[in-house]
Amino acid sequence: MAISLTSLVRQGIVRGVNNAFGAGLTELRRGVVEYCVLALLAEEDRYGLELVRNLSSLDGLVTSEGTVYPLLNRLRDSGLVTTHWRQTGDDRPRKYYAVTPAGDAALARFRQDWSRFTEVVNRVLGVGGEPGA
Amino acid sequence: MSSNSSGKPSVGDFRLRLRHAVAELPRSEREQLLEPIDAHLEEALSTSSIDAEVREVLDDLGSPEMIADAAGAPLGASPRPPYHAFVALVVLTVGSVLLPLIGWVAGVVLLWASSRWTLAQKWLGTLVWPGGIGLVLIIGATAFGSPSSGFYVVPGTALVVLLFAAPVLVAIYLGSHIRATELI
Repeated sequence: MAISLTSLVRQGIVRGVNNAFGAGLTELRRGVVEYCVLALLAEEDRYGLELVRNLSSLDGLVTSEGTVYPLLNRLRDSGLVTTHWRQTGDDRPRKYYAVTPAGDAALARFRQDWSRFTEVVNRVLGVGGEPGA
Repeated sequence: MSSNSSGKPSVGDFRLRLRHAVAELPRSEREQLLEPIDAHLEEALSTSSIDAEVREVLDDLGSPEMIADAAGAPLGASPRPPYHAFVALVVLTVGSVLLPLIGWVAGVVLLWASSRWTLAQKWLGTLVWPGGIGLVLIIGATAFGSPSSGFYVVPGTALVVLLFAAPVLVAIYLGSHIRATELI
């Protein structure tokens, strides 16, 4: 089952734990944010500021908007993301980021892994799960 | 933070600090990082001219140093403890005494091989002082050993203390400014 970002936030996996866990969450976040970027770009192509604002609106996911740009560069260098310039109306041309087929495949793999992972961790920690489940 | 909490936030200052912080990255990597951040600033600030809004845009971006650190770290890798950096400092100071000149040269090589310092910090570690403490000790011993140098003993002592303290202080400074390769 694929877990959307919004449901992640709703379940409290991401929300609010930033301050409570500090360094521990930094480690956790490091491996996860890149897939959240891929997930947002899989929904639709986005330009830098748009993507970064989307990410930072998800509480606790990124600590600094600026660090998303080095991450995007690495995703592009790894062939998971591609860029193109697009101009809409009278606006200035913007660099848009899009997911490549390799990025889609990596995201699909991660969705499966993440599902299994959170299920196990929730069970061990005795947290999470839908009410009544 | 990118601005003084009391003073006027400066986008120019942020850009300058970011350029300084990424100076060590390869040119193409540097340009690929600066270009989208400049675009981000330009677009985010196109509608904001009030100080509070400018400050918020800069604060949300994070410190230039944090962004540079994220750019220097490999994807998904955990930060490694800076063992090599500590070894470089020990060789640069203690090594230069135990093995005059050779120890110092080895320390300088390790210093420049490390990715934990900026270019300016590496130059500082190299130029204060060429030869390191070892050479200072040799020069000091030679000066005191010379029978005709009595007249210069007092200024000589101050000078030797200065020459001896400077590389120690530089090593302490470098030790406290080892970059953490934090990602995100």
